Amino acid sequence: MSRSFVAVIVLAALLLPGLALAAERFPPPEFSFDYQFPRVRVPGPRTELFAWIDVVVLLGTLGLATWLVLKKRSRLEIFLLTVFALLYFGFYRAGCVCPIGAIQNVALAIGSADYVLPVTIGLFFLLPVGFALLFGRVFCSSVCPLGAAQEMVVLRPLRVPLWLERGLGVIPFVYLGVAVFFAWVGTDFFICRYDPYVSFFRLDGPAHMLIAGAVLLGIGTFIGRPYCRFLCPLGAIFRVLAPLSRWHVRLGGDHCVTCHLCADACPYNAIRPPTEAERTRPPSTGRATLGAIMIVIPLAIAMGALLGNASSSLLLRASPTATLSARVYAEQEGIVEGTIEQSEAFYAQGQAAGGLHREAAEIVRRFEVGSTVLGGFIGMVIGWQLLAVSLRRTRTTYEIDPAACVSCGRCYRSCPIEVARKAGRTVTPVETSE
Amino acid sequence: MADDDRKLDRRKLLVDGARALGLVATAGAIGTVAAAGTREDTVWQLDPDKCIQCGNCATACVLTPSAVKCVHDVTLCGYCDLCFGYFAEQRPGDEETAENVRCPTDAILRNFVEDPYYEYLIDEPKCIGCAICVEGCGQYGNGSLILQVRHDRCKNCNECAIAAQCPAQAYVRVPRSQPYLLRSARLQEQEELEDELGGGAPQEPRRPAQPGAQPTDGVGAGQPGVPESGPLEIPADAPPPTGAPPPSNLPVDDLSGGGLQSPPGASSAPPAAAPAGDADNLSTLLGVDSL
Repeated sequence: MSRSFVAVIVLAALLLPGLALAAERFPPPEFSFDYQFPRVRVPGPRTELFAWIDVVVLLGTLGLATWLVLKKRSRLEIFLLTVFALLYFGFYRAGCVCPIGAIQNVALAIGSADYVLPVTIGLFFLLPVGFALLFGRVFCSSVCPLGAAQEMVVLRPLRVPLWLERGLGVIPFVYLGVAVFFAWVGTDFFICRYDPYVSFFRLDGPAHMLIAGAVLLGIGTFIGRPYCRFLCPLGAIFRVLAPLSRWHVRLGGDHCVTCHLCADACPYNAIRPPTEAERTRPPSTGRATLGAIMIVIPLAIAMGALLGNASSSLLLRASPTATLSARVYAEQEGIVEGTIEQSEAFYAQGQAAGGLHREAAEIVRRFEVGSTVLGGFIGMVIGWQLLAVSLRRTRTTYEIDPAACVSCGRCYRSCPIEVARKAGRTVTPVETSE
Repeated sequence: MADDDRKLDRRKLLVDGARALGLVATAGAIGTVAAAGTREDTVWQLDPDKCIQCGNCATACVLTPSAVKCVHDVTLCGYCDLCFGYFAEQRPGDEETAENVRCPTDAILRNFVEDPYYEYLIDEPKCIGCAICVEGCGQYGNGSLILQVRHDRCKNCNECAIAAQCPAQAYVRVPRSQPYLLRSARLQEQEELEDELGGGAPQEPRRPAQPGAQPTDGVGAGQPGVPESGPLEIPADAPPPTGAPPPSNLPVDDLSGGGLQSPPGASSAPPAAAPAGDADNLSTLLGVDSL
């Protein structure tokens, strides 16, 4: 009996016009008793409260890190806080949302009318930025889980030559630009997709990212914090902001005995040695440099913008909506045979192609604008970096470059002035130079 | 020395100014976000009406097994004896033996309720989110078996790895407080909307459709409704746009596997051409190999 019943129903089903919404093809059952429908389990996500707890923890660790780095000046305590950050923001929170990734949420919110930035995510980006403006890169030292993971594996740091350091230092800016671009056009979150450490925090993830994480951690044993220095897009922002900070890690100052111990202790190449005395150049050189800046940078921006604009169609392939629109158009015009998964899915939703094409046209426009700006930005960064090589500063003592310093506090242990100050003695150059 | 001092002063002034500007900007941004941002953040969910059961949910998630699992929206279920989500199409008999069952991990429980009704439950720890049962139920059945992101498992990645690979663009950000997109809830909403707009257009009562909230008994189950095509099914007939010149050169790489069973009705051709002029431009832009 039940067979024939089903057969009839199947026939009825076959006669249905569409399949987009299959519900109610079979009549609801008529139970002879008071049947209790099983409960559909709908486990919720972590509640909003936790998102705010994370913000509080972020603010707390930022504050504590600032105090430890600038006031307490103790490597051990900074290290302990780093361990905490690794455990909390890394393993417990399993990575998301992190201030590095939050850059993209901000960009998406600016670019898209559909996405409203949640306050907690906005704070995750803005709090570290504010702290960087005031206190330098304290976030990097002992709050960032990515930095913390790398901090743990530094074993025998090699000194990267400064020219290479500077050259590779362009990458984070390019990465930042590309990530902001893709987020702004609403296509992709580049930073998250290629976050090398989040798979490690979750001990799960795509194989290529797990391998990338392992390789970077391996490299991190002899090149300190490779991600922070040569990739991190938030680090790029900090590179600009930290030099403006009012307070950041400083050593000896006028008492500096130029003993080189701090620079030896720094695994991140952030301490610059004193320059030779006769570096004072005549004002004419300064003027020449200024002239070069005024020519080279606009030129680099223009070149970049042109190249960026030209690459717009290449970048456009990353947009699923744009490619779908092109595909649907080609199919309907008979330019290509058959359908693909994406276009099948689109037809199944029963929408007219016109809307899709209009949406795609808007995306194309955004890609054109965005890629031009991106190209200009990259041109500017490269132009500036070229000039920065020629800009020289005179230093009479060892100075910490706030752009590069991640406030790890290692130098506090090796600087004789610091050690003496901690011991309650004042040190004069004569005293320490034996 | 005096020159040096002046230089330092100038630099200090610039730095101080830039810092002040930056701080004001940051504070302003915090204020703007606090005023304009949403208090509630979002989580990922997949829209079952867009889902095409491609199988990516099982493999693309950063978790293994995936955070996506089959959810049985029971109030929509027909309680069929021969469930298309449960049984394989080509089967020698109707026994619940492995070769007869669709689910590769035996994650669907089939319990006898009363003749001719069987209830189907998901054994979630076993489910891998492959969507094979969802496909069967959607093609021939009521579509009560759907995939959903399970938020007790989901890490809520800033960018969902499955969303990035979903060919149907079925993944959306939903408010944290309403983290599921169940068909029954959607139908109920739609019904309420129709009641409001339709002004007493007689709607046949559906079963209570909010499954998660409270277990319901079959109120209004007496209507063995004709399979109806709800308004959701009506294709949006857009006005035919202006003709577009044909694009120059486009590829002929047909990636559609054209699976083993083509569902009845699905063979209907894509909606008649309705491209906007931009699409031509676009396909030229994207070039040959990208499609």
